[in-house]
Amino acid sequence: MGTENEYKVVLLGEGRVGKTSLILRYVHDKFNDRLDRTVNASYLTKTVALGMKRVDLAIWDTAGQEMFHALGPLYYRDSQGAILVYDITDEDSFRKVKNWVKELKKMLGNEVVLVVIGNKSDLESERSVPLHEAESYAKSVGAAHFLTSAKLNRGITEVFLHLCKEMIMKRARDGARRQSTGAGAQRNRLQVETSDDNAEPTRTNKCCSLI
Amino acid sequence: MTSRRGTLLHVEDRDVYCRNGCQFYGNPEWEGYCSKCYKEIRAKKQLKHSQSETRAPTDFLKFEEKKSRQKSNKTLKNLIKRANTIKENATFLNASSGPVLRDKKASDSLALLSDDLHKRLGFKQELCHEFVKVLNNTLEKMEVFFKKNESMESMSDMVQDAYQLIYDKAIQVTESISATEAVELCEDFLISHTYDVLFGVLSSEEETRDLGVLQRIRSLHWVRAHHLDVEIDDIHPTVKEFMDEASTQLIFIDSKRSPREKLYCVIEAARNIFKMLQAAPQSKSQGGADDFLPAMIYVVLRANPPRLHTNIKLVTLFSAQSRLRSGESGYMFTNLCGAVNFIENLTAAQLQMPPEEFESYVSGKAVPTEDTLTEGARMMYHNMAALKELNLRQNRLADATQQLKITLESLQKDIGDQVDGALKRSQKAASHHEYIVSADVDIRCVPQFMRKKITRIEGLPPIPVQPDLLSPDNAELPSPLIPEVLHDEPALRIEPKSAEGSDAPIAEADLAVTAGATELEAGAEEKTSLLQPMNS
Ligand SMILES: Nc1nc2c(ncn2[C@@H]2O[C@H](COP(=O)(O)OP(=O)(O)O)[C@@H](O)[C@H]2O)c(=O)[nH]1
Ligand SMILES: [Mg+2]
Repeated sequence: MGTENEYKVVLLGEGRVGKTSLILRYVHDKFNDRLDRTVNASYLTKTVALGMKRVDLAIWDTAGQEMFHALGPLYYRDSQGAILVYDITDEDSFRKVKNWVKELKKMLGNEVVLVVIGNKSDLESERSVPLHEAESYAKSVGAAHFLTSAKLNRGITEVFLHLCKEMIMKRARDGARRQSTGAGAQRNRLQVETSDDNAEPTRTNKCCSLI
Repeated sequence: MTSRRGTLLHVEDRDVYCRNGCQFYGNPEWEGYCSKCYKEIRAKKQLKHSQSETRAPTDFLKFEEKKSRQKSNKTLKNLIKRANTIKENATFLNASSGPVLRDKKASDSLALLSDDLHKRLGFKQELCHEFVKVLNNTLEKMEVFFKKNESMESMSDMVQDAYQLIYDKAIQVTESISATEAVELCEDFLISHTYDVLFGVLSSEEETRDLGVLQRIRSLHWVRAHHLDVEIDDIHPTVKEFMDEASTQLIFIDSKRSPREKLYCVIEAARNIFKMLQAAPQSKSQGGADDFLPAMIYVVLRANPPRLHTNIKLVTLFSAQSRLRSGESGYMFTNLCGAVNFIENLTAAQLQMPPEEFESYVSGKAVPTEDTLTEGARMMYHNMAALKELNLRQNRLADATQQLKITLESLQKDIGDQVDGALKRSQKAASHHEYIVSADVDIRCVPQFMRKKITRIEGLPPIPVQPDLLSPDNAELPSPLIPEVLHDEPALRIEPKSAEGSDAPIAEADLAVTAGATELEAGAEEKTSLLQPMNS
């Protein structure tokens, strides 16, 4: 169920790398706005027009503190896109991204589109994560790499545009494959061009394994 | 319910436990008793009435009786041994014929639902009948599942397939929003109709875990917001109020009878948590997940909502999946699940605390020093904050009163001055207000503002005043009110002679304007009577 235009995107990364700031900049074009605070910046939605297509994004923020790491699966399951954020001035945060990628690959396989983001690009002079290293790492895991600055509003729209395109293509591909193999073909028959991934009869991880 | 301080304990003690005061949970469905006590009371009542009860409740009660028998000798050891009793349960359910779900109430509700789908969402009658058929089928299958004592998971799969079928049918004729709404309406019917049976089975399955988390939360009473890496100034009155409201909503989850209503409580709780995070003046929260999740955990710890696992499982298994996958309620619900999970698996390491210390707090052997030291101080700070706020409000009130007094005084003076001025002016005005115009001057030559203040002398054609006044239709009517007459309006002095004689010579200059005495007394009546003959 759900619509074929709906995509869930989850943001993962160490605390303080700027996940919340990125979402707030992207959806409300705000940064550190003390006077006009958004009450809920944890779950935000945005509609993106991509040519003739309309994409409804549901963006899930996650708590970056180490003590909540184990809850990750609750948040990233059923998501079509994952944005892994590190702070270019903080090597630890980059290591954390690698951990997340490993976990996501293990738990979701290739179900999810990955994007790696180096945030705080305005602090270039304090950079401690070499750009080529980050880029080649992202390439090695099949993810795109972007540099962003929530502060200066740089590179953020590009991230989401890229993600939208990839997710749409993935959904179309998966739908086509499902039809050719006959699995779920019955349910998808009426939606040839935009297959509904949700119609897939896999509900294996429906009941959260943790609860 | 008001969310005053202390409400929570109140709710917990009285509303959650059995009304008989035994150690088990009461259930609103069982009139606030636990299943055992409720059964006894029902049995007494039934003796009084005839034995003409339908089979369904009695069968269900039999099952409940079984359950409560297990409950009655409950010790921690027994709880752990419970796994073995599942078989016992199974044989019991096999023996029973299972609940009857397709009763009169079901067909009535289905008729209403079908109507709703047709009228509100605009589905064709035939399609609505199909939906009803799907739901009836599902009820039938559920009866079989209950009879065979199938697992709740397989029941969930079956119900989810039904939702999917309804969605697939609906999406062919409408867009996805309406299709989703149709599914939600069907879900609402299906689950609230079968709620008692579903909840009964689930709560007996989850009883151990429910009690486990209840006790776990009690043992974590010493955890403060800073342990969870979030700033919550719960001494601040506004913060406290939002927190109480959030807790109340979490406690309400248990009393709602459909996944939709339960999720709504979760959303309401979340809203209050976001407000709580930003209520304190020094709050730095952006409303991101780094604050929200720990705050949710903190509120769950404070509220200790009843039967968390049963409720979570009911929603997870029987709520339409699209809502849980990516919607807002899905996000908030995920955070609630995360909070419960975190609480159950909390370790010393996560709180960056030596294990021995953590253990001594959990077992109740010790209380964090900050707590023993500040328990009184916390109260004091709380009261001080309240007093400060009161003081502030009182000062504001005093200021406002003073302001009001000044305003009133100056207003009084102003009004006095204005009245005096007006009186003087009207005296002056009363003295000269009449223009004398030769009667043969065309009215169009007189400036507009002067026309009503002129006196015709040796006049010729009358001034064409308000033609409707003169029409015979109006002759019967009382004379209309003419406002200007009441004021310093000069009367029209038109000689009767001048009305008849049309060729009188022009006596005066074209526009002789003279100030003269005004005849205020000249009423409207007089005016018309003066004018009427001219017309006839
Ligand atoms: N200089 C700079 N600071 C940033 C940027 N993005 C976020 N920050 C700051 O980094 C801190 C952490 O940001 P936050 O969004 O709360 O991170 P989160 O914990 O990942 O959600 C805040 O003080 C932000 O103001 C950025 O692009 N440039
Ligand atoms: Mg954040």
